Order: sequence, then C-alpha cells, then structure tokens
Amino acid sequence: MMAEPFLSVRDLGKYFAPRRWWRKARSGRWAIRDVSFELQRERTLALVGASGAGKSTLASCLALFETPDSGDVRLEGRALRHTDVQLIPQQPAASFNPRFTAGEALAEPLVIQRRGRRHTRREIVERAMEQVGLSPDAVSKPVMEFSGGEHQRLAIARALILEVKLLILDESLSALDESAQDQVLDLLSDLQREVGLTYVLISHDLTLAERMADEIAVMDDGRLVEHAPTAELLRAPRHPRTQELVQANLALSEDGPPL
Amino acid sequence: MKYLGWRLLHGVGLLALLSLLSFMLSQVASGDFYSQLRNDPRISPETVAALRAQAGIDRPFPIRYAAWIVAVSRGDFGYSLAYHRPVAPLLEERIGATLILTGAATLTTWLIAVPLGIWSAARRGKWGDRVSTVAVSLVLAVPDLVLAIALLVLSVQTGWLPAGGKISRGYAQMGSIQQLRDVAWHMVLPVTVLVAGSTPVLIRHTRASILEVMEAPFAMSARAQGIPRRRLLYRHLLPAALNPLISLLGLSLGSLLSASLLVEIVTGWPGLGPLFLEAVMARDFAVVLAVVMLSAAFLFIGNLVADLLLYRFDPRIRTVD
Repeated sequence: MMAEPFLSVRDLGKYFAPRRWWRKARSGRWAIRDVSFELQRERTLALVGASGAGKSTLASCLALFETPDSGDVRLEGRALRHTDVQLIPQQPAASFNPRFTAGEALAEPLVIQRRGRRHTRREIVERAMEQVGLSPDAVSKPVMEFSGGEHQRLAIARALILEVKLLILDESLSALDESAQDQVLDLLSDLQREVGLTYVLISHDLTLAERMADEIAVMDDGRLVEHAPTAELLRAPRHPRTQELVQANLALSEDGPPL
Repeated sequence: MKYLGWRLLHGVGLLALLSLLSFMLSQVASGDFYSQLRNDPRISPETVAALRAQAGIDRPFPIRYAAWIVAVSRGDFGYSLAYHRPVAPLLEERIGATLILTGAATLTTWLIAVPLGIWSAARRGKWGDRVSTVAVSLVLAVPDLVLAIALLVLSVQTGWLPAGGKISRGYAQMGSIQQLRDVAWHMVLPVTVLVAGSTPVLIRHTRASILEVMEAPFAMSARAQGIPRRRLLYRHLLPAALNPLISLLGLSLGSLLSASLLVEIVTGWPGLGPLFLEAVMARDFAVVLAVVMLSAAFLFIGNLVADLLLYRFDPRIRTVD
C-alpha cells in the first residue's frame, strides 16, 4: 500500500506583477510555475538552483509568507496552516524584533496562537532553549546580544515552540562559518530524529545539500526540472541544468575552495 | 545619568554661545531705542544722551554683556524701555497666551495625525490612503499665513468666528465659565491654522515610519506565525516606528514658544508674537533677547525630553550606553 505523502505540493505557481495604482499591470512574470513534488515524513529535501530560479519564492509559499497564485500545498492531506510550518531565514537576527528578550521572542508565537498560560509559557520557552543547546538562563537576555550562531538556534527554537513538523531552511546555514555550520547541522539532524521533523532546505550549495539531504530537487527558471534521491542525482544527473551544477560543484571541490 | 549631565552642560554652553551671538547682532543693528528721538527737534541731543546713559546703553559692549548675563542667570531679563516695565512679568503674561495656543494646537495635531498616519499606512495603496495622501499634499501646499488671512476674511464676512484677538468686549463682566468659553472661541481660528500647518507633515512621517517597519523581516516572521493585524500593529510595528516620531515630538515641544509667532501677529493673538515684533521694530532689545533666549531654551528642553523618551522606549539605546 502506498503511504499518503506527508507534504504534497501540486502545480504551485506564483505570479509577480509590477503594481500600478490604477490597474494591475499586464506584464508580469511567473516566479515559480507548475511546481509539484511530494515529500515523506522525517526526510530532508534540498532545493537547489541558480539565483533567480525561484527557490526563495517557493520557500516563501511553503512557509505561508506568500499566497500562491495557483496550485496548493497540502500537509497530511489537508491545507497547510501557520501552525504546521516555520521558516528559518537566511539572516535570523533580522527576523527577531530587536526590542524583545529571547524569552519574549520565543513566547510570542505562543501568545499569537493563544497557547498556554503565563507560567507554562515560560516552561515551554526554557525547554525549547535547552533543546537547541542554549542556556535557559538566557531567557531575559535581549535578542540583539546573541551571536550569529545563537540567533540561528533561537530561530530554530522559535519554530519548535509551535511544534511544527515542517521546517523550511532558506539558505539558513549559508551565512555561518564552517564550524558553526557543522554544529547547527548536527543539531538539525538530532532534532529530526527526536522530534520527527521534515526539512526543506533551500540552498545554492550542492555540498551542503549532499551532506544533509535525502533527496535533491533542482529548480530552473521557476520550474522543478529534476527530483531524485541525493546519491542518484549526483551520480547520474539527467537534466542539463543539474549536470551543470554537479560539474561546477566537482570543479570546486577538486580545486579546493577559492583563496 | 552621566549622559544627562553631559547633555545639560552641552545645552548651557549652547545657550551661552547663542546669547553672545544674539547680543552681538543686537549691537550690529543700526540704532537703539532712543534713535528716533533724535529726529524730534523738540528734544535736544543732550537729553537723548542723558536718557541713553540712564538706560545704561552707552556703556561699552563687554560690560553690558557681562551685566546682562549676570542678571539673566538670576532670572532678571532686564527692563523694557518701551513698556517701562521689567521684562520678566511682561513676558509671563504673553507666554501664557502663547502656550495655551500652541499647546492646544500641538495636542490636536498629534491626536489627528498619528491615528491618520497609522490608518493610512495600514491600507497603503488602497482608496482611503490615496485620498488622504492627496488631501495631505493639498493642505501642505497652502501657506499658513494665506490660510490665516482667508479664514479671517471668512469670519469677518460671516461672523461665524471672532476675527482675531483673544477676548471679546465685556470679558471682565463675564462669569468664569463664560470667560473660558470666550477664549476657547477665539482660539479656534489660530489653532486651526497651526494645526493645518503641522498635521500634514506629521501624518506623512507617521505613515512612512510605519510602512518602513512593515517590510522588516521581523514583521514578516510575525506574520508567518499567523499574528492578527491588531497585535502586529501595537506590539511590533508601533514600538519600532516610534523613534522618528519621538524626535518629532521633541521638536514640536521645543517650538511651543516659537511656532505661532507669525500666526499670532496675523490673528492679533496677544502672545509672544506681536510683542516680539513690536520689540524688534522699537529696538527694545531687552525684550528681543529674552524672547530669543527663552525660545532657544525651549528647543533645547524639547530635544532633551525626546532623548530621554528614546532612552526610555528603545532598549537598544540603553545597551549601547
């Protein structure tokens, strides 16, 4: 029997048109078009592609930042809700209200979703901080005083607070140095096992995708051109765009990193 | 608090510099209070010289400046030659009248502009926002004085509003409630002009600063958590948009004494404006200097209040400190 897919994306499209004040402009552009894929629970999918391929738009649609203009996203057979999915942005520091303390920032989703009471919220917040490897003593520290890697952890903690099952990582690890990246990767894979998370990783970095993802989907000009298990895709890329990416990645790793 | 001490010191230094400058300028200005008497053939030059000596304005500049500074630091602003009275009590009456006017205008401006700016930002690009943007531009384009004169003409022709002044004839015979109503009635016109002058700018600033934070990533992520509009506005957007507004509040508090000078003159409101104008024309420099110094002090205090409010409302400023 075929299991029902955890996440299913069907014919997703997002259209951007320059706004005119008297009417909608006719000349617009589909940032993503006819994107369809399925993802099983507790798997990691990496979305790769050149810049402008529509990765971030897809991420925004999956995270409900944007409303798609066509198609739909379903989670366990029903429409996606704010409490199902959270996005870890590229610059997590900016995604926190600079006036908040860590505790306030993490409790905010609970308040918004009207969950828990004042004292139980505090417990939930402290537990989430422990989960991502931050000291619960830091609850009253202003968000601005955390480091880059810690902001990453805070963002993950904030996502966990809502007990979402799907996390969208939008180039989340690109801004970190290697050792911080390793730590966050370890944290993410631990959490995947413990909490049962499903990840969609947006990245331009095929090496990172290879390390983390079970399957890779390649985007080009707003469309999904190839989607296969990681090893298979890297071994035998079929689409020319995929071949380009794999080639470029090989060249990079053979020569070592620039500098 | 160390910061506050520095700011105060800074302010005092600034005021001292300003006093020196304005005192010097008053010297550069041709003539003094008694110059016009010289044109009167009935008054001998000796009499004029005696009057000048009596008023002390024949002494050399540094001595007069020093004497003036010492007096001012004791709260004595000197003697008005035109009114034959000490300046301080003279100013007191006028300042009261000015503050009533500008206070009411400032309060009204903020009560109108901030909600309107927020409302406009919340429905950016929609119908209401466009109408209000156009209206704001129109009001902004009308010079205060033109509006004041137009309203005065209108009140004279229709008799709906008193045409200038602060009180009606027979004010002294009124009961206190009636007196209050009478003054309020006279205030309508100048306050309207002042409000029309300052509201559009404030609406625009409010709208712009709210729009700016609406696009901020943290507002986006709050939206991604499914935040209701109202909470987004009050908990995230307003506090973040507050800083530029606080600076503007400082400015509007600071200009409480000086904002209405021209409007007072045009509408005949017996505040600092007409007094200042007369004093300048008559070269009654003690009054001129006192008004300049007080206005400057107000401006300084307004900005100081703004800084303290910023310090209070923005945790980031505190951590830098």
